[in-house]
Amino acid sequence: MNKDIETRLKELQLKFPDTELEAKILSSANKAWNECEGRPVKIIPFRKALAIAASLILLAGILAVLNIAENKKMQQAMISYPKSGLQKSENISLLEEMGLGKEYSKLIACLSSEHKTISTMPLLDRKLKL
Amino acid sequence: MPEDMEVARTIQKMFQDDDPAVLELVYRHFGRRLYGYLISMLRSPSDAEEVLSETFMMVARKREQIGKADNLRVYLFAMSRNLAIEMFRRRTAQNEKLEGYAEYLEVSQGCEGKWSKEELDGVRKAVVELPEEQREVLVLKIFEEMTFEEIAELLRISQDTAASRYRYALEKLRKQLKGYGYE
Repeated sequence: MNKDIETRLKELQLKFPDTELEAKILSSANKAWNECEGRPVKIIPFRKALAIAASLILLAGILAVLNIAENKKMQQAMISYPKSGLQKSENISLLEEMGLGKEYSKLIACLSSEHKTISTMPLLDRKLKL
Repeated sequence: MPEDMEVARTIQKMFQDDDPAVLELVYRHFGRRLYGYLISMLRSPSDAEEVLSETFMMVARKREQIGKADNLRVYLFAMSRNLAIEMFRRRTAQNEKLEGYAEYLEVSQGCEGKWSKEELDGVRKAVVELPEEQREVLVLKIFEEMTFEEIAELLRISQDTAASRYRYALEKLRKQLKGYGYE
């Protein structure tokens, strides 16, 4: 009689472990469960918070350094050109007297002389005509 | 196995709820099967027990990932397999003698009358003597009823490779067991 090996093998099963093994395994697994109880919930947000705080501190530091550098530049400019500031404010008041809006007066006063040609500023031209 | 799918869903829900009672359910449903697979792989009941224990400790530690696994059975078997491979490495280094694995196959309930002790011993011996990679596929296919797709995913091989390993295993068994009337 010919027997099919596949069918015959399906009549067999792999050995089950002893019943004592279940208690032993579950006890160590429960211990491992309790050891990391709550860890996924608590530690991950803490790490995230730490990373965010570090990034914010770094960003604030960069901004502070940039701000200090900008202030220094301004101070140096004021020291190098003590008269230019005064001249600008005089120009502003003069242009305002001429009937220019405040914002235009400031803009023109801040431009260097080579840019102060009426043809390049049609808007200003129109304003003057008004 | 549709029953597996149902249990897997319940188990994953319990993992997501962080319910420690899930460990018992995983053991009842998968523990015994994992043990059989580990014995067939490691051919040592004591090593299989150790790896099974390590597997369950890892299940407890990695419960968050397990709760999200696509195929719980494949995930658990893969976890066990990786730990068994580590055990293999340790054992080779220690040059440990393998004993007590011969009886890991037994006759299922209701089929006892159909098997003679001589034939059962012959089949056990033939299965144990199969090349490791063929034996592993055979055990997963016959006793765990995994599909070739699942076996391929678990062993990280192609489905064709899994199928051919299975075919070769059956051919070898047929040859070995010709004397018992296998075709």
